[in-house]
Amino acid sequence: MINKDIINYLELLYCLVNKELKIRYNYSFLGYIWALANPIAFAMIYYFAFKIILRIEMENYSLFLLCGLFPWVFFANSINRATISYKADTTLVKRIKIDLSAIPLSTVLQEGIHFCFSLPILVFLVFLLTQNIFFSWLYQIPILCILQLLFLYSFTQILSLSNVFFRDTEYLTGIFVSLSFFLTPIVYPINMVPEKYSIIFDLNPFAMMISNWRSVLLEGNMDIHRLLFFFCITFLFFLISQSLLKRYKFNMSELL
Amino acid sequence: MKNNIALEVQNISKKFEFKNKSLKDILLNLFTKKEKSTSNQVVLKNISFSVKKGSAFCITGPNGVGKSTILSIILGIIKADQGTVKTFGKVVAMNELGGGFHPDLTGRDNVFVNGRLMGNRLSNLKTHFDDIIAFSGLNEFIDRPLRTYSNGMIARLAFSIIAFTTADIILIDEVLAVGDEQFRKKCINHFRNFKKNGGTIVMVSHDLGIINNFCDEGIYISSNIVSPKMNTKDLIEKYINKVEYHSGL
Repeated sequence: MINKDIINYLELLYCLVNKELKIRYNYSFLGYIWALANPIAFAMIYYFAFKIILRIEMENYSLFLLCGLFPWVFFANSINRATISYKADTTLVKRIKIDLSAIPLSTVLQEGIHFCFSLPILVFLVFLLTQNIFFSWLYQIPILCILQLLFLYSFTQILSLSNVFFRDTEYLTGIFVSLSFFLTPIVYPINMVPEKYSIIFDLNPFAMMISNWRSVLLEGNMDIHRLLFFFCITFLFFLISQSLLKRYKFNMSELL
Repeated sequence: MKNNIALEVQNISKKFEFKNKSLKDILLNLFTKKEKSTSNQVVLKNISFSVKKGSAFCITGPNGVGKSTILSIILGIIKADQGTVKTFGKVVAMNELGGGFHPDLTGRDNVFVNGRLMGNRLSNLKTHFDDIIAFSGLNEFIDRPLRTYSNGMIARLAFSIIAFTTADIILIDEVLAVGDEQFRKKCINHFRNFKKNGGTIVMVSHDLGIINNFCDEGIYISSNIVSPKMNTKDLIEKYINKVEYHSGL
């Protein structure tokens, strides 16, 4: 019985994700370019702003930027898009009986798939510019991907639910994501942060993840401490999201 | 005796609350101080009925009295404040044809997405795919995007998916008026067969023609009264009387 439920849920997810990917790529492989365009365009403009105008002192700054930007785009797009997912798909919530948690999760999964598509490019660029290949990537990259997915699932579940009850959530989330970008060591390295502000970065889950992505991709190292901390935050969010979902799932169709 | 019942609704009541949903609403209310920020609307009060297996049951009455809400409660999307609903078998709703359809997807892909949302297994959809297309009559259009379809064609496709969805109880909300006369006859025939094979139908409708030649029993609901269960002939009489009374004819 439980098995049947899981298969049903997976099939539902598959349909929702597949649908969105097909729409986005419009049945052509050219759509793949769009998954890469966003982080690469931003990497170029940040390179111009920080390396050329502000003259940040760092070797391989472009690679440094890309290793932070790709996972960040996965974070930011998932959060922004999944927050409005219930509101955007009212027919699914109001008219059809499905497991509601699949709706934001399918958005996160789409972004995850975009990210996975862009990983080979990233790995290739790392190899091209540093001549390094780490065999530890074979387990490190999947671990980071899965952790990030779990985090985003729980976090966006909370946000998308609260957006149903409190419509300002999506605007606040937009501001939050934009601000978080600069409070996360993406365009600058974490060791440039003054000591007295380091607490922000020690507690920021995005910073934990981005710095791990960077050290994995550039040095083949994982910071286990930060990952454990990240996992604890994820687990906390997971518990909150599940209890909210259980409590409010029947109220949603009335409010949308 | 109990085995003959497909659906039992006991004493359900439901009221909707209207809450402030955003900062803007709260701020506006703060300054205008017009009314209390929450107000309730009672939609359903102590509604009970039961539906026999293999029959068609109709809920009729004026707009805005909660007929569709009853269907949502039966389907399990909305929870009633009080009362219980017991269903015996798999419930499928046809309250919005083509929910989850996307204009940019081809008809083929929409069949799988919508079919899955309606609770079909993908393997089941694959085996019945040709039958679904044959039923809809959309043969050569099936690989074109849905936005190139006419409304009638979309409704036909949506209906055909429902027709091949396995269910014991089908909930229908005002959607039988789809397609041309020929397709409509096909739908009615399909539901007759469904009934004959022990399926149960609960529908919300104002269409006296459909109520008359399709339903077996029903109730009339308006804002202040809920009629007891009655046969179709009495139901239509009641409906016509009410309409005449209220419109002063």
